Amino acid sequence: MLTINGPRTRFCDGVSRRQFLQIGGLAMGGIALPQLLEAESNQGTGRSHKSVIMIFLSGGPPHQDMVDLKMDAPAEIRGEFQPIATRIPGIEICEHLPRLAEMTDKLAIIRSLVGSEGRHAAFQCLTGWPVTQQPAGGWPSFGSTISKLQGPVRLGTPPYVSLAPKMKSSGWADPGQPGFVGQAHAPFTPNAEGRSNLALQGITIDKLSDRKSLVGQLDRLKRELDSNGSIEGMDAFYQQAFGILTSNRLAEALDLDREDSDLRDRYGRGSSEPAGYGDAGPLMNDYFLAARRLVESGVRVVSVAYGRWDWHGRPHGTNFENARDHLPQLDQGLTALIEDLEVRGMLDDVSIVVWGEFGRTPRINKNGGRDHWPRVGCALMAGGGIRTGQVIGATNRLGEDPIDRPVHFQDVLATLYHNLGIDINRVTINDLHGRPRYLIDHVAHQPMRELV
Amino acid sequence: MDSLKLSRLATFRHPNAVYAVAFSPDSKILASGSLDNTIKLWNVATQTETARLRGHGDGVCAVAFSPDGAKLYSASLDRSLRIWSSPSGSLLSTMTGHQNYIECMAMSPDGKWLGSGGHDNTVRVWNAELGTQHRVLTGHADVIYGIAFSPTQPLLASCAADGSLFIWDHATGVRLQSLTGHVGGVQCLAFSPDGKTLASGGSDLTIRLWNVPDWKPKTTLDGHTQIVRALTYSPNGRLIASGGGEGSVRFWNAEVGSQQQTLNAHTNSVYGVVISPDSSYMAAASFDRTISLWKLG
Repeated sequence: MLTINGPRTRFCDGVSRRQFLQIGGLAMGGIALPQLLEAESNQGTGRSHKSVIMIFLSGGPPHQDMVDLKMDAPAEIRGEFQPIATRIPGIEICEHLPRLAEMTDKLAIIRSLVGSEGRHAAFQCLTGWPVTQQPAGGWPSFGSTISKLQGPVRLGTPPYVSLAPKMKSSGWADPGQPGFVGQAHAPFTPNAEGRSNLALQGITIDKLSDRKSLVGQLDRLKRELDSNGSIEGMDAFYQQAFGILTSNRLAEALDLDREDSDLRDRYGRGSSEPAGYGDAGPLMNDYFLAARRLVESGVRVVSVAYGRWDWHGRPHGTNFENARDHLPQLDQGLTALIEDLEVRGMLDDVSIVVWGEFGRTPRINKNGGRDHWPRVGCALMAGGGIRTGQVIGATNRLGEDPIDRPVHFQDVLATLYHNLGIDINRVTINDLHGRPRYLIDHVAHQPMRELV
Repeated sequence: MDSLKLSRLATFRHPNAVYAVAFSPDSKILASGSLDNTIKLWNVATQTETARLRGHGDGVCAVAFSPDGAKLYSASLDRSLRIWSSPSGSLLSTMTGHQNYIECMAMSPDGKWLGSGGHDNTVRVWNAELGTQHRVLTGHADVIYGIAFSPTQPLLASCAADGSLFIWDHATGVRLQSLTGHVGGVQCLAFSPDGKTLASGGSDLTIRLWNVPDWKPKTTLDGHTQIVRALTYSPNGRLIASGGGEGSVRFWNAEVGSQQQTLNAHTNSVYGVVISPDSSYMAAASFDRTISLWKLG
């Protein structure tokens, strides 16, 4: 995934601006080298850091076929699946999630997710905000905000890594925009379009350290950039690029060959091939393992885009055929991640959220699919010290609308900020017009009282 | 067929759902079409992949060999049908005309005609030799899921999501019959090798056998627990094999309609079932991204 010494030599000489920027999408916290060194000096002291793994089910997962089965609904709504009992009496989930059923004591199941904009995009899950009417510079994604507020845990480890793979749909492959916090806080994206291999193309670390021309190139780039925060980003990039290149920590975290083979099997490995038709991403369970390794190495926020959940029906397979394909793999990878974090004593420090853009229509369409349903969806949360073993919210008999405890996307993100020690009622960041912006609409949304 | 013996020889994989399988006339090559947009050719004896045919812009829903085995025909959700040389896999021709996804395709036993149907609710008949559209048959009110040619007469059967099952004279384009009986959509069709029976599989989990030429219902085969997605006859006509949404392949005595064997072959819907011309093999294509190859003994 990340190669320091690639097969080709083409870095400083003839390097393009685009190439620099490809390497440069790194969240750094925008702090100075002395601060980085200070952060570096803190490493090895044994202090733990809080982190978040965000798993985005690209396309919108079917709430009623996963965690909110409607057995009293008519057949054209009920669907093909049966519920199964779980470790928590009274909680039932889909028969195709048997491992999660055995782990519901470690899950918070949200059955009443609301506030969807109805748009096919990771944006709302990554920022909590709708795409429309953004402030100057745009809303920053959660990871970029954390990068801005908390910076790197240690030198050579970016605060925010997105494992969003290449997809044709940019909305699904969106790794998370930095918005008004600036390019310095963009995620490091080893899998994104054009960056499948962070290859420095034959440049060794020793050579790189001597390359004064690199600095010259960067200085020239800096002059080309406008004053909207990108210069700060390039400074940070400059520092971070050296930080990453002179530390093998990130490379090691992304090198899954270093991991125990049995554990990798437990995660399910997965495939890098598209998981469905068209603009599908892969069902890559290795990403879950990589996420654990990244947070273990010091990354604060890891986002993952997983599979293709936009199941409108034939000829691309019915909702249920696709669910029979995706659910067992999610079941395996997600339970492996939770189990692994717990074994390592990390589960209370790592928050996990699993969700998509929206739910899906109660009524099965004529092609055996379910269409978009922004009125309600579902989410799973685990770790981070939240109170688990519970279901939050409920929908009506047909799974159309919440009838109890609607939970907004911003409620979930407020909870994640809380888990990272950030007070959403106090912290603001200025947008590019200098206007202070709260991270969350805190008047309407707060950390979920059931969880924290 | 009383002592039907089957043993699994191999499991072949595509990166995505597999919708179709077809044996070459000499039973030596198996072709598979997938939602990964490709066709794969497999050597049955060595059980190895020998070619991967790329070119379709969307999933491949049907494949069929010409009677001499020199050509392979494919249909795709990209609205096109393609003609490939076999076994080289080079593209010879592309046929367009459908206005929406294609769902099914069949070749006439004499190799002269192709029939296709799909989400534009039309059945189209193509001159397989020339690669040209011959006729458009309209009348279905929803997606056409299945199509089959009679081996003995210029008849074409087509079935659709609206529950319609029509018999056409494809030489004239005249609709001869409308068969009713299934509850809900009709998914797949197969004529017996002697042309005297038409089998249809439906969303109502049944397989129905229809007598030719009076088109009266003969027998209903119950057993599948999910939608019947695929049907085929054995070359001697004594056996029907069917694939279901539950992932099973079931074998039936074609004469009396009794179920002979159930293979829990796959973990997801079976979209294609085929028995080799020499009756030595059966292959099934599944949404679980695999093809299972079985020895029939």
